[in-house]
Amino acid sequence: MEKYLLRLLDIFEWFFRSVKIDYEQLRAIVSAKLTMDNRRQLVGYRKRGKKEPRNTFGTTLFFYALFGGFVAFAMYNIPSFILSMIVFFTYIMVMVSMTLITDFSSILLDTSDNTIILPRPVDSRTLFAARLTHILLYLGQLALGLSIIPAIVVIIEYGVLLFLFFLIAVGLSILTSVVLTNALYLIIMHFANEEKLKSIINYFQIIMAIFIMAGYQILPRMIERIDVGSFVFKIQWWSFLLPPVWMAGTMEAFQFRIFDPAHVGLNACALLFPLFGMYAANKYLSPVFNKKIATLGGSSSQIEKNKVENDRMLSSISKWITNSPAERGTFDVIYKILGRDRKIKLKIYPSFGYIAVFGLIFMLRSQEDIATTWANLPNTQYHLVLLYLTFMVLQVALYEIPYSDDFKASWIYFSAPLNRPGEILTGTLKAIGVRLFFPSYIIISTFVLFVWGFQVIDDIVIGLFNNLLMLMVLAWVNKRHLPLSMAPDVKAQSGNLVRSILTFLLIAALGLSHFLLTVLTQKSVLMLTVIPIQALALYLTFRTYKKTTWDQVTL
Amino acid sequence: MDSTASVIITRNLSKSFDKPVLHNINLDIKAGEIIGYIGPNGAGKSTTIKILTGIIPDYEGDATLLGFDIRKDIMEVKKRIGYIPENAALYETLTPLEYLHFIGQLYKMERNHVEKKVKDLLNLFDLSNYSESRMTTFSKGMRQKVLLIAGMIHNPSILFLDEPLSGLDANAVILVKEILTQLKRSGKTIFYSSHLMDVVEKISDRIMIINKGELIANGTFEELNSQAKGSLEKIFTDLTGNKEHESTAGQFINILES
Repeated sequence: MEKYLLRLLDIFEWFFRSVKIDYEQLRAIVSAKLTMDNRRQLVGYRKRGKKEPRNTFGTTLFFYALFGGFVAFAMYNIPSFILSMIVFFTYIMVMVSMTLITDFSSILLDTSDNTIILPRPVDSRTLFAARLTHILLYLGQLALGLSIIPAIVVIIEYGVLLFLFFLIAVGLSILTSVVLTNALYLIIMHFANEEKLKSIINYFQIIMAIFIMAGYQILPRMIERIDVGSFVFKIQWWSFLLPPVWMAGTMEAFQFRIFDPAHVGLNACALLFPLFGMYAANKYLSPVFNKKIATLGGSSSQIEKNKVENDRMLSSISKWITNSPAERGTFDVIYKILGRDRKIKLKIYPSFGYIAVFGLIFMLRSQEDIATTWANLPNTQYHLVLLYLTFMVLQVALYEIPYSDDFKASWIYFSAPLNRPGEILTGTLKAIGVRLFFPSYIIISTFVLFVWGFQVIDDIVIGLFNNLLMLMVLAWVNKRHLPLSMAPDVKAQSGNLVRSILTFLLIAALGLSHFLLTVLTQKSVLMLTVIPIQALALYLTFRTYKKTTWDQVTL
Repeated sequence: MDSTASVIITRNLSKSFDKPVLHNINLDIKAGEIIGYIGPNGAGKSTTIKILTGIIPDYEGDATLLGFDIRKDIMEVKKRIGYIPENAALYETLTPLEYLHFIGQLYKMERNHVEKKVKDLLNLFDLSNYSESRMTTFSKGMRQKVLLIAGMIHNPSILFLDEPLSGLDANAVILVKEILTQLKRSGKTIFYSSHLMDVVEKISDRIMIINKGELIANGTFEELNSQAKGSLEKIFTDLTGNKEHESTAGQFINILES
């Protein structure tokens, strides 16, 4: 792939030379960067155990082509030409911008170029051009993946001429997204320091992960559901604020030969904004941007006075909920790290979004329209699904908590005079419960109470205990690892089939028993008998788990 | 060039980020000198080196390297100097061969020439077995060796090193020290910053101490010794105004035992 891209680049050698850029150096830099891209660990698709990603790009391209396929399917099903185009261009612009923010933030904010390339005889124009070329090549491949199937649809439906305009519009969309994203970066950097910027990017990455999953799950379903046949899109004043509409309007203008003022206006926006935007970015923004970047890595001596507020609530919770110093210490630390460590957040927090996505999918599953579905909701048993979906957070958190980039810091567990590591394990479980599970369970319960009414309160209580019991099952059956003690790239809990089956059966049994009880028995009786049993089971399992010895821990 | 001419000259070199970092630094360094540049953390050592190597382009004052004003002719300067950064900054997903080849391209060195040189150098540093594996798994010492090659592959006449010895094992430290002394013998000028006082004391022709952005001492070890008696460590703590180490240590023990 890199070879072809470099050959493609060679075609433009004359262009670079004509603007007095050192082509040999540019080619060397772009080539090195492409090689590195291809070996980069991808956010989101990371697999454990596979240490050295080889063809990261191929994998991504495949996924994007798949998504492009969904979009093409949607386009095919939307009778309104302009609307189908709006869908496509919105999609491509959002994906390009999100990729710029999530995948490229690390490259944009990377200061190693400063120390590696700047001391060499490379002038700043060449370096800037190399960076820009690299980004555009990357995004170009991405756009290729995304638009390959939609482009086929365009050729079949509307012919080759429109296909050419389509390609140009895709190119302009990339430029527009680059300009807008750069502007966004500058605005954020103006108001936030480096740490805050990294946190904001972190949240974008989390949203991106949810977005990709949601697109994968919801798009195909939505296409069947929503009746778009009767929808007519009219160009309004606000259309001029939405870049995808510029592109779609341009396509419409050329397809149907409509050149009224509104369409010509959209054409002008589509063409002029990216070109002038790039010019302005090159001339005015990039110096500011580079200066900001240069100060990022700045001098290591300026340690930021990044004071963390003392969390009163945390200290009263941890005092109340834990009952030994080691357990309390672990609880406090894990609680705080779950809220601060960006890598851990990136792995765990998307599951909150998944809960919402799956919840929506379940609730809106029926074939009726949304209003009827909503009105019928209290008659269904879907509230149980919602209550148990929360378990996803617990499962993901428990799976991820043994891993950390700072795994070496776990020496403290071994050098400290700890008799039983069980206290560390229970402290961790409690922190996961308090920080991640309870807040989401409370939100979901509130929603369930709002829709289904007070009569399902017993389900909420039983569901709560069951979720915690399932967590205990998971913790119990699987290998016990100390929190944050393993390198993220070591092979994960190696597929012990018996373990997974056992876990699955136990968890399924717990969930199913709740469902059967709800359907078959009188609820009041249920309340009185089941809940104490659950509480006792939870207490006993937890107490035994706390007695975990060093022999039972897998290091 | 006349061997007594200064190859690095700065006049009132100053730099401030949010607060002043360097203040009126005046250097005159002759060809073939080894300069040990020492100072506490945050004193401005790295900033000085980054300005002289063209990494930080905006500063006040003037600096001339090998007769070129670095504000006007930074490209000419960069062709003739080498820089070895601290904290092992390199593209770690590349292999040493790929990385060094890339660096060679930036200096427009001929491909075959670079390849031969790189292979010989890696071999010399016992890295030839790893020349085609990614540097992600390399130890600090292995990375430092790659950086040494990357900084010198174009045979520069002035070499800047930022903490070149940190993280190296004892054998590698001896090797680097030996390389530096032999480079000096072949007429190269070496400007390096370090924390390791005993090394600085032994191999430097001249020692410069910087504190809070100002040059507070500049001379041979003997000259410094006449200002404040003792080892370089002693002189250093005397001059940088940290005289309370002993009492701090005493208090530390007291608090532990309380």
